Amino acid sequence: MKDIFFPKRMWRPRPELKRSYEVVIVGGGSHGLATAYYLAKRHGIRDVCILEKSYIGSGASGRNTTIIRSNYRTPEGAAFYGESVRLYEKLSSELNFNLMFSQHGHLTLAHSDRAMITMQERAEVNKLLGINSSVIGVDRISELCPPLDLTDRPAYPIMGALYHPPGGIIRHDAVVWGFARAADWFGVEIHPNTEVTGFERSGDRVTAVETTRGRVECGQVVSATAGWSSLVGGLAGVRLPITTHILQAFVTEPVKPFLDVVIVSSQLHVYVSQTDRGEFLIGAEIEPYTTYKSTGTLSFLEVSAAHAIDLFPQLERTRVLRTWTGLCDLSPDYSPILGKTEIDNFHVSTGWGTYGFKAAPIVGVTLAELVATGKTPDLIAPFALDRFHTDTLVSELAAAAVSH
Amino acid sequence: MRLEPRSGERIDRSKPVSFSFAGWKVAGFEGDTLGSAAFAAGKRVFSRSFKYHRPRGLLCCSGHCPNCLMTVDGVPNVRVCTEPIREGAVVEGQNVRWSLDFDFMSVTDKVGGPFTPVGFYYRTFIRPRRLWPFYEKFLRSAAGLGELDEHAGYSRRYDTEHRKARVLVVGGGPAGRAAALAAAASGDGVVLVDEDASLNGMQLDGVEVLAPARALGIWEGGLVPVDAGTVLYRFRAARIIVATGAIEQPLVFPGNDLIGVMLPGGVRRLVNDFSIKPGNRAIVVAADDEGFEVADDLSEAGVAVPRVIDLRETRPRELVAQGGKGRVRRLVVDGESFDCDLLVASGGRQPAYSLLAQAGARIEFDSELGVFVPTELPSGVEAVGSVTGDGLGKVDPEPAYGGKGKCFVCVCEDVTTKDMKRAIAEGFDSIELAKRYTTTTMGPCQGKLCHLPSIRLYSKETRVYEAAIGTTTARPPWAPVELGLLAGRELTPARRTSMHWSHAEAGATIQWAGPWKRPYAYGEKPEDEVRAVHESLGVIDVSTLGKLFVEGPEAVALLERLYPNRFGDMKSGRIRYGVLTSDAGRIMDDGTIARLADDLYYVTTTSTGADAVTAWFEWWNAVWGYEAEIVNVTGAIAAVNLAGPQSRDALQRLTEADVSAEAFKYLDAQEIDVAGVPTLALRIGFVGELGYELHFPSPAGEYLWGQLVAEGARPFGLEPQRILRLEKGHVIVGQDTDSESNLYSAGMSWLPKLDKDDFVGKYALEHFAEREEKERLVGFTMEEDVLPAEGAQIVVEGFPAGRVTSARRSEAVGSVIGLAWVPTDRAKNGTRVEIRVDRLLRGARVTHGAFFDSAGQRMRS
Amino acid sequence: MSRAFLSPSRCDAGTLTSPLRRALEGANSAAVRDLSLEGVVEIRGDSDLVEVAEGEDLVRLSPQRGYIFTDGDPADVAERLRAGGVLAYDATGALAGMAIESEQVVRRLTDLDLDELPTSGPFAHVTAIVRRADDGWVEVYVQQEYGHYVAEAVVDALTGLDTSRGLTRGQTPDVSDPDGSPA
Ligand SMILES: Cc1cc2nc3c(=O)[nH]c(=O)nc-3n(C[C@H](O)[C@H](O)[C@H](O)COP(=O)(O)OP(=O)(O)OC[C@H]3O[C@@H](n4cnc5c(N)ncnc54)[C@H](O)[C@@H]3O)c2cc1C
Ligand code: FES
Repeated sequence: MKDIFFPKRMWRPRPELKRSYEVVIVGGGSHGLATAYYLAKRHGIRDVCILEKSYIGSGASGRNTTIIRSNYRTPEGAAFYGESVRLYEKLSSELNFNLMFSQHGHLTLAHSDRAMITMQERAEVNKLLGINSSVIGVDRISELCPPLDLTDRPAYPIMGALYHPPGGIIRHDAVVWGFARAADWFGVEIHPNTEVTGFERSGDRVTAVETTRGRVECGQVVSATAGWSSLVGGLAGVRLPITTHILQAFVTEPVKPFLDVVIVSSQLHVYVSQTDRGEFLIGAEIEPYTTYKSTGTLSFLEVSAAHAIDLFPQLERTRVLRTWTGLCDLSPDYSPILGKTEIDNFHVSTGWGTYGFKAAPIVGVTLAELVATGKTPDLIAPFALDRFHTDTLVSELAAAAVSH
Repeated sequence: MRLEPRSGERIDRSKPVSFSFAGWKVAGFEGDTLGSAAFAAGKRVFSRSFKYHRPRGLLCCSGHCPNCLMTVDGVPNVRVCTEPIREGAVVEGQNVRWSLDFDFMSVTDKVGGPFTPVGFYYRTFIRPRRLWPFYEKFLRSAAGLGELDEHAGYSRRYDTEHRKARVLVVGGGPAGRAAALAAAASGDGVVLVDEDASLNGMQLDGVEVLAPARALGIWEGGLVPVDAGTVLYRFRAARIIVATGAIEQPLVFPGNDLIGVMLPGGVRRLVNDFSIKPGNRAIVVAADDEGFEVADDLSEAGVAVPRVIDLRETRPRELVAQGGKGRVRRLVVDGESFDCDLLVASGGRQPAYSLLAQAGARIEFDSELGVFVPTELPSGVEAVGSVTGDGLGKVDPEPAYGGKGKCFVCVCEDVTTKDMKRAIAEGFDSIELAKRYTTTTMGPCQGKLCHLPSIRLYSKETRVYEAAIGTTTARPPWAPVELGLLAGRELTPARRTSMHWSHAEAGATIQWAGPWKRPYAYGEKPEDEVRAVHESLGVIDVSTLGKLFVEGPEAVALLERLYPNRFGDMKSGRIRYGVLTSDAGRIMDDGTIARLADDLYYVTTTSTGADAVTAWFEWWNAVWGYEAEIVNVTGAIAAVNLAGPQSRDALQRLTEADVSAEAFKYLDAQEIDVAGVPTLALRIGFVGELGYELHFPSPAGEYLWGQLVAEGARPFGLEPQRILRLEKGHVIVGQDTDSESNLYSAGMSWLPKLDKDDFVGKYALEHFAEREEKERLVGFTMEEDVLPAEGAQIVVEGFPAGRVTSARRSEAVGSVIGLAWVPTDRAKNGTRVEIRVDRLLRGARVTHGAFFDSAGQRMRS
Repeated sequence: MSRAFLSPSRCDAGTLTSPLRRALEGANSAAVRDLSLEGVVEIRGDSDLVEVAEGEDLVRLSPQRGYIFTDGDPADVAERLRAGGVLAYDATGALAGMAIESEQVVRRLTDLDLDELPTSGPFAHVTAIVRRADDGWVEVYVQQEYGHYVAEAVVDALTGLDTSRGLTRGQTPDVSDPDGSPA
């Protein structure tokens, strides 16, 4: 509390790169920073640097729509994200930084019989794994979210919803800064404006990392580069089954809050929440083509606006303030790829599509454990890169459309 | 106070208009804006600021700044300085508790000072954790600007219009007008748009002028959406000329947000357009020529201008505006005090480059001019006038003047210089981080008034040149735009079969089924429709099935390679069931394939699969280059399934062809006339009874449907069909299977012919054939009369181990039956599994084969 | 086997219904007309081999693909074309068509370039073939199953031009003149 009165640096400036680090983390997003933090905190490994080509949080971590939930379809996914939400719940006090995690509940709307089946399936899987999740009818929806248009006026009337009370939204920048500050406190070096341009290899190991600010030797490497994963993997000679697409979102001018829950409609490809500042935060599904170019499209705005109004006709005269895009790294089965690769000391966190922000703490915990112990934690074993060779996919696909 | 009538004024004094402003009745004239009329009537407080609830008054009068955001007729966040006046409008303040003039929340300005530094919330309310929701509730109640009418509905007042222009000029200032006229000289198709309503009706030879109409952005392909209020013009222009001018920038000094501190352009508008005397005693402080022209206008309007401070000549260190009740009373310059009730202050003009930046131009700091200018314009986009920096003088004011009091860098977000300095001191030392931490540039004006000042300040504090800092990314739209306008007309495509209205008129419950509108059932009880099919005769509209012709000498080769099935041995006039698999061996779609002639096949797909299957076929055929054509005839052909023990007799009554059991066998395809309609009849049995799928020209749909119903066929809908097919254990692709299912796990190992040369997915299927699948799709019969939800879980040792994909109560079978994925070791016929139904585990027996008429005698009869 | 089950012309005229019948009931026939039952033939193969007869109009979508709009019996036309070496299918039943008088209405529903007709692309979000008739009207053909929906959108756009749809913003450009493109 006292640093409210006296400004205190969040993290130290790092003018120089050292010659070598025990662990080099590529990517200063939520995943990279969390991994560094847990390496230092839980395993005492502090000789760690984070190399970030721009500023911390400049990737998807600073652009996402911050939906946190754990009501996934597969038992593997639900267990994994469930653990992440539990970590998030304690994270503000752990990091002594208010992440403004507001768990007002998350509703995934169903507009068709088929969607109702998928929701039922998710609810049942979730319940068996101890996750608070259930299918509710229109009456209950109207209690939880009175402003929703529940009449049969919209082209696709709402039939029911999957209700997930612990779901909610969080301040994305706060997560990034909170992890960064804590990691810095342990001595982790954060190097912004440092792009990784290559890796030196000797046999099945990476020995050094080349950057725009020089070369550093490394014990182990973690790539937490999300949308850029296949490029960074490529530099190390690891081929990843990842395609990169853009995802767009927009906010409106702030209006007095009247929407507390997060509303997601897979069928309409839209989701809506209202931030603590009063802005409506609206997003959609990824663009179907692959690209690294961050130009948005007008049709995204038009289609999302139309669908947002289908759900909330009151928003008709609310104004769009700004739109933006971010990169999404899609895996074939919509589950992440986490952990070991064919290079002994090169680990990855990728395949996050449109849903990776909620996983930051658990990615940090599990990757740190893997780096520190050399063993893959059970929780992430199903998400090994290897599964594409053995064809044992973990398909979130049925629940994939808008699965933030 | 209004001045005497003057030339060039926009108001029509013969037409008074009145409206209510914060509860007061206010009169103005046609041609006024709501803001100008209120100002003329003496109103000075227009809003309360976002964070500190400080009273704010008119600042820019050009629709950029946040100071005049008010709620008009229930619509929040309207910029009243540009909103045309209208009779009876109700204009209310927002973000206030009590009233604009007295806002309880303004205590945050006084006591909140030390408690609301930037980043305050990140550091507070952390413990105890369970209290955060309460704090948050309070925070939320204080957030937001205007209030939305929760019950407002969808008015459908918007439309979209697609337009084409040879040349589109954005901006109707001198440069834009000149460019438009020059373009018009070489041909038509020139359109000029401007957001300023006063340009409405402007005549330019050969140029179509749209105003108020605001270009929102420039997207790929020369696409420029233009906000014209209730119509969104989507312009495609070969040449786009951006003449958006430059925007006056506020000076950053203590007290710079007091009411009465205004930008020169705003003051000139009040005087020249609306003939308003904006004050009695004005001080002018400016950093470029433009800034001083206002002094003449003011003198002419009878305002005393005792002092004009040219920042290029004098470089004061301290500049402080002081006031009372939120209004400016004096300006103190390095200790010298000047009384005033109007302080016109400008930090120069910044080119309004947002559209160009978004179109792909590079934005660079021009150290000559001291502002950011666009360079490297993308092709097809030009810039003219001051948006390029042309005609702007060098400006170099202090990034922030010293003195006591709150000094705002960003008025939208109430960000002060202190906040910025603090952010930098805390390590947010890149402009993007500082922006996110302080939220400067993230308010309603999107940085139009604070981007440059923020960078100037940041540069000074970090001792990095502006040029090295770069700009933050320009994000469309150029100005806030209503969701309704972007959404446009409500258009949701729906597919209807040619018999749709027969169903609707028969009282069917119509439902979405993928992109189609289809009958769910015709009466209250789907079971009755099921019974009709089992006992007598039913008919269902299956026109939604995808229907393809595959024709050509190599049609068979193509099909052989697309499907795991074999077709070469199939005779003309015969039908086979086929399943399509993906390269990865996953089930994609299923349907029937009828051979109509040596080189002509008729393929049906699932109702939602037609387009995907057509594309799939065409794609592969393009790769392989077979001499075969694929023609999607889904819409051309209507189809019904006439099913039930009486179907043969009924059909015979309507046709002269011989449809006896001997002449028309199970899995035969024949072309016959039905009630005079040329029909392809396929004898297949998805619903398990004797039946015929009749395919015929769509436009005859209503007629033939009527004929069949007249013959005694009872219409049945999707729900009874689902029950019927489940009784047969027939799988619905996409419901019972998902994107990971393959033929082996789905219990169709008999289907793939792995000895065929090659076909799509063969490699994967060979692999599946050898490995043990983790789970299998099987039928099950419930031990008790409970109906599991579709999606219910098979539970093994407390864990989810499988799932129910279909379940129904079947009268014909006499129990609850269904399909489910179960672990392979529980997939044997007769194995007991447990399904979670309403929190209890219920027993079920795995049942292989059909539940009803398992030998298939009825459909083969 | 033949392909007669594709051809509405092989049925009694009295047995045929247009997919637009309900949507255009009561619509102003001076503004929009139903073309759905007029003959269309889909062509596959080398469209250079197609000999276009009197009363026929060929719209090429690609060198291998096109449609013939015909005043004659489309089933006969298809047979004739097959004899000439291309594959042809009666597509009369496949398409719903309407002729629209006002270009502005068309522009409210499609961004296709009306100076470059015939063409094909999205119209009210569904794929359409758009051509210009001799009298200057714009003819729009869509898959018949979308016909009702598209016709409703057209009728709605027509009325949208007539009424101000509750305009409130003061000086919005006037859109109330159905003929007047805002030029
Ligand atoms: C618009 C949008 C909305 C989303 N909404 C949600 C949501 O609601 N809920 C949710 O859970 N998820 C959401 N996501 C997904 C989520 O944001 C991401 O999955 C997650 O943030 C990934 O975090 P990260 O740390 O792995 O990657 P990032 O934050 O992208 O970090 C990767 C970093 O690597 C850096 N980098 C790349 N290449 C190099 C290099 N060669 N050298 C050095 N550094 C490099 C990048 O600059 C970047 O900072 C959304 C994504 C987007 C784009
Ligand atoms: S002044 Fe508008 S965003 Fe800063």
